[in-house]
Amino acid sequence: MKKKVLIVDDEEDILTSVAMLINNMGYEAKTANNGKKALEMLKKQKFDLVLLDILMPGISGREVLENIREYPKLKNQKAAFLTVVKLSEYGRDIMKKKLKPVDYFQKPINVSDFRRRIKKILG
Amino acid sequence: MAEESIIVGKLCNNQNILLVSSSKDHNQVLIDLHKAVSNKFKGILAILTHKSAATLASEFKKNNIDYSNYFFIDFVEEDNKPKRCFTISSLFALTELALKIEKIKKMYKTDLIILDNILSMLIYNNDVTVLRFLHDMMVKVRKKGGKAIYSILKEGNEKLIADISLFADEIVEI
Repeated sequence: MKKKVLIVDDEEDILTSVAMLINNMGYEAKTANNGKKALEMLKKQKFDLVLLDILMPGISGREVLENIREYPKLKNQKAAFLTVVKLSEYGRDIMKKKLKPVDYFQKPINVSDFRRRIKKILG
Repeated sequence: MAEESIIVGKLCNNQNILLVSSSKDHNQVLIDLHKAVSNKFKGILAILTHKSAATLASEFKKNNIDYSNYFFIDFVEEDNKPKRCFTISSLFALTELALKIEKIKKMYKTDLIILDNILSMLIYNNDVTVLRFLHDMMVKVRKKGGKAIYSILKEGNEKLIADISLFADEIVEI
């Protein structure tokens, strides 16, 4: 069975292009254009990885991951950030301690680096 | 005043500081901050989103703060503006604000920006727009050198503070 990746971003272009990349790698991509929808999907089905944008209207990517960590069934969910935000050291520290993302991808994506790191996460 | 000295100390090692204070203490915290930094920087750019530069200048006079090295950006059209004051058409106009900051930084030697405060920006813009603006500003400060302090009221802004924490260098809560 194909491993499933949920991509969460408010920009449709990003959702489409990242989903295409993920599908081309042999995984199954699903998309959500806001944090609320993402949380609903995560509670209904199992995903091997969630790729989260940070700055989104409504529930931000940080809040989505906070919710994931607080929800018993999802607390071990693998999640990574996919964002234009350049985290400060302070921010990286908070992330590491509280939210525990498995990786952090900077937009715009370097495709070959993205593929290599996604493969490493999903095996 | 001791708390404001902490901020000055934090500015040695950090470029972008988020200053969180309660609404009750906010005005005094900012005055004390200006007192603590006014003679420590070559040029200070004060961005005022909730009061005019004239009001701040009169507060400076009342508190014996030398503001000869200050530049101001405000959003209020009035006659008695202090010297070196630039007015932006509206708090909606964040691009205009970003360009004006760039221009002032290019033309004059400003090595500290104090933005007071983030909350007023949220009256005219949604939170993602404000977060993107602050993120871009922090990236520019980091890239081009200098320091910046961004003030925000504590009450009711926990979500926004947590989001800004991801890209600010330090959070100081007073």
